[in-house]
Amino acid sequence: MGRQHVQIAQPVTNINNPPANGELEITLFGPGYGESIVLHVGDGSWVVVDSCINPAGEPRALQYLTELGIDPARDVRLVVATHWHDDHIRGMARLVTACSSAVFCCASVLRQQEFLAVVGSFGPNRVPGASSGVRELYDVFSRLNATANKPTFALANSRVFLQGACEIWTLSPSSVTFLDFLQQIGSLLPGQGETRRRIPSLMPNKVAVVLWIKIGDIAVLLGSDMEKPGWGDILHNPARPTGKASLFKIPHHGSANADEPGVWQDMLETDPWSILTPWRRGGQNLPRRGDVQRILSSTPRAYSTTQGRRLTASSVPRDQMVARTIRESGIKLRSVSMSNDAVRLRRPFGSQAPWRVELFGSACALQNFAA
Amino acid sequence: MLQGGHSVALDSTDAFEEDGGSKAGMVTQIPITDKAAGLSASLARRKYLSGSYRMSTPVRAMPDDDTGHTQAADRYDIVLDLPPRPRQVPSATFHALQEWEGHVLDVGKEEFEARLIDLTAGGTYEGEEATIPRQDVSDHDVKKLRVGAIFRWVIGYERTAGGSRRRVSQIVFRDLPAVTESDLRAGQEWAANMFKSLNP
Repeated sequence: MGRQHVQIAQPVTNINNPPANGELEITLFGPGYGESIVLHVGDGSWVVVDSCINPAGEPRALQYLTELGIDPARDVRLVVATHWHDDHIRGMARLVTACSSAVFCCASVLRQQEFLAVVGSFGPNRVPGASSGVRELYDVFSRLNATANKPTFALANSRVFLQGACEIWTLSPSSVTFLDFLQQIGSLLPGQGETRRRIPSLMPNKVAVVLWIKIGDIAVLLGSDMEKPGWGDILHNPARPTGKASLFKIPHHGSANADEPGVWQDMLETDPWSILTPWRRGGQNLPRRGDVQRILSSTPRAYSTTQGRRLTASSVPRDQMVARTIRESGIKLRSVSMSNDAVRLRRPFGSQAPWRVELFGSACALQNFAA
Repeated sequence: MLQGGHSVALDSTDAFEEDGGSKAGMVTQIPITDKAAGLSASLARRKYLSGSYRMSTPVRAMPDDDTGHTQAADRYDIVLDLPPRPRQVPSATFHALQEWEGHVLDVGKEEFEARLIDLTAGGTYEGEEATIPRQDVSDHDVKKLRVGAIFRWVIGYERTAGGSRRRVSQIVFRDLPAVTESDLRAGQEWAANMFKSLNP
């Protein structure tokens, strides 16, 4: 298909119709801060990758599954936490609890003594008010331990799920990044006498779990927040699954430091359907204008879960006196969006039909991102 | 004798100059929960009062045979010698209209970035983000400004005793308890147990 003929999906409103048994579905939620993916892998089996919350503070994936009439306790087979950053793990403990028959999967490095020591140190000494990824993981591991539910751990090129024709492989983290991470994580351990605070994130993200999903002829690449050093390890690993993906969850919110040209060349079909979630934190936005242009030069079939303008809107109504005081204080206040925006793609198994794209809320074609 | 669980009347022999404070001879009731009078006096000295006071047991009211007036009986006086009481200032009230709890994301030269939970709206997750000038943080608190630090931001109005009203925006960094040896030990025990569980 030539680029001039690419159909751009238009927004639709009915999100509550479930897929057919023989239909693969990938639904990406990304309200502006946070990311979660729900997959239907056939015959009523579901997989959830990462967790973000809705405006009511509930895991968005759970809300969606319930609205579709799916029983999370029975029908979700696998829950993956690709990494422990706040925007990918909020609500994960409640998700794991609700999906009681699912296997939980996270990076193998997270079961190492060094990381568990950090989680243990911040878990019981919770900092009031502030949520954090380690706090969520503390609850997840404690829950799994209490229920004797054994998790599975992701390493480069390990198959973590097999059901019928569906295989899910983890392509990372590599052994090199594994060791780097363990050296870094010790710096986050609090010292005795240190004032309690919220744990900061480690950057760059080297131990995110990249997923390769294969059902028959269809392959999907979910890039998590993997940044360049990690992509290099994946590309140069001869043991990774072969084939090219027709659908790509663009890593790390479209940032330049996560864009590895070799991925587009070696792991993706030409003009793959590509989806991303925007991100804002500390006054920084992703994707930037240059990121949008770069991605569109790689594929015109790119979609975002929300528009750029949504990220700067302040939507909290306040007392007039409070609003005036904020204005005069010089403090710039912005909303951290927790909307229900989503991109959904479906495609029948064993078919050459293209992906069918549906946009919900302010989700948009990437070319309209800054509109 | 002072008894536990009673109140004790304190007769001030000091005169205070300001409105709103105790006047000379004014009787104040404070709860006494200790049986020993000495301890009660000590508590009174430390917690409630300053200056020189005559401290007496609860007054038992008895009618005078001649006049019919009631007068005190069984009075035991203890004289306390307390340090001078600070001058009383007119009381001001503060009415909070909006309150956030925040944590610091990044610290810059002139300002810092933070995520905020709207406590007024009953929020449980960080729903807002702010860029805050460093000058909005007091000199005392500025040394606490670092990534992950927790603070309160309150907007409201203060009404002075004179009746005037002014708007106030205040950021206060919280002095959370320090990490203790037992905290660290508990964390290590959890980690050791979890390590065994996750690495059978």
